[in-house]
Amino acid sequence: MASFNLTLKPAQTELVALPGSTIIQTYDVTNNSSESLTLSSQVLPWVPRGNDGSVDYLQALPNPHLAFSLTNTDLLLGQTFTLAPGQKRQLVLKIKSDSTVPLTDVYYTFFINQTPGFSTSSTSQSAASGRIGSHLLISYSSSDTPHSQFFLSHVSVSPRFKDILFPQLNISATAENDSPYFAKIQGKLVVAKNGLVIQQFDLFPDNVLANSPRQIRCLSDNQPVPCSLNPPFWPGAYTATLTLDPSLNAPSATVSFFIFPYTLTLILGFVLTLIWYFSRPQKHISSTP
Amino acid sequence: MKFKIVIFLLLLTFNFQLLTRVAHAQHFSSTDYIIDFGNFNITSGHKNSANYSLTDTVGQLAPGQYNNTGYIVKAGFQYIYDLFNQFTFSINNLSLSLGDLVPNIGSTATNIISISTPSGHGYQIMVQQNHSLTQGNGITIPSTACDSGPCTTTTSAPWTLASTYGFGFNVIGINSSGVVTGVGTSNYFTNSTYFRPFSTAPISQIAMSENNSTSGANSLRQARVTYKANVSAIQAAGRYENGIIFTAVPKY
Repeated sequence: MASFNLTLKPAQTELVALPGSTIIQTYDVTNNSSESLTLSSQVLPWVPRGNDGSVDYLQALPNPHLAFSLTNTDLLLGQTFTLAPGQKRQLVLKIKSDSTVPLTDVYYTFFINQTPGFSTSSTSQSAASGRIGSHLLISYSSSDTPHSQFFLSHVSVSPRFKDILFPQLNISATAENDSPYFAKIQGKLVVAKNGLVIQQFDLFPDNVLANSPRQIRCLSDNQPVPCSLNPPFWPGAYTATLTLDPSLNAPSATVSFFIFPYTLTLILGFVLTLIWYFSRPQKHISSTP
Repeated sequence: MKFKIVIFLLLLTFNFQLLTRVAHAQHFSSTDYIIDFGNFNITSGHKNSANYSLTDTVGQLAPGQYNNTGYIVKAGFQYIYDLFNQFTFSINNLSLSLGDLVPNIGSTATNIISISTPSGHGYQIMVQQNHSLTQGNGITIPSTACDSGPCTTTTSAPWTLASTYGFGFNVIGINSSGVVTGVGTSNYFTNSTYFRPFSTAPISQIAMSENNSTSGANSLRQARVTYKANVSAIQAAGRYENGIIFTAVPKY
């Protein structure tokens, strides 16, 4: 049964480059399949889609100031090559920019495409093939530390009714990048009550691309997790403050919320109502001729 | 005495200049190439332990940044940082036989797609068809519109009726035991009865995606893809075929 199983390393490259510079990036392609694969390489531009790290290839146009090629002596970009089962091959991508490349980010994916085989079936069929890609995030800048300009938006705490017992409180926010260069989110989320810190989170270092937003996530054990607080809580007024690293030039954002013992109040009210109902004086109706 | 000192110095100089052999340790050559290294890298690459992860390049002579008019040299540091983690995508079966297409009886084929991404980074798997299921004479089986809804390349809908014709697909997340979990696919296909037609637009139709993998580097995600074709009695008999391309990329 023909299959496709490919590993590409690295999964993503991020760098800053001067206009007119040449970048060399090596890729290791490994065929983990049990049969030989005929492959080819390709580079395509993309733009960010949404705020969760998704990419869109349809809306992207290639940058005319960049030229891509392979420096492998025996392989051209787009040319087919064969990898035997278990074989690994290194492809060396060269990215040449001219001196007039605009000072901004460019985003590309280096793809390894499978060339589909020929079908010998006598009945109807579809032939599947695979393609795997590694992203390139390149900032063309005259400085090796391009200026970032972030701001925080849509800061909120849910659910609307916050009880001392349940449910989990979720803090959400969006980091918006107003600069032409990508940067990683760095900062903290601090939840406080009456000025005392209740809980503090580091933010997960997601990339926020040029002029685009990214949903904030918190960091726990080197993993991204939702920014959330677990009950029980003391009732009262709280604040959640998001502060980004000064290098991101973003004002901090604070949201206030109140936690009230809704559930306990309802239960207590119900019990008191029952007590009142069963303990009220009974009316006696006397009939006298 | 002075004469002896002078003779000694002359002999020392002579010995140094004429008898010392030039070291070629950093010069390699063959019939086809010559390689001269400015310095040897003693070690380099990516190392890690239980608590640390290190990338290094050791052996650079005179590391540092050197500026001059028109250029900057940054020597001895890794100024291009790539994420050394790898990314794996697989399809267990590339030949999806739909068999002989019988009117009003849906024909299906399945395969399993698997993806493993760097820890903390999600993925997108996109799918496209090169063209509709087509016979050699150009007759095609159209894309399905599902039972009602209709379903589109971006919206799935149930397809269970034998009187609904066309070609489409379903993707449902499974675990390593084949049990349906819906992970990565529930936003696109509610359950295994929901289908969509394939898009012919390249790298645009999302079949499966997640914002981040679970804990542990390169955790594995799998999904079962079901391809379904149903034809009416007026559909020309014969062999139909097309190509399905799966594209997997990480989330940035």
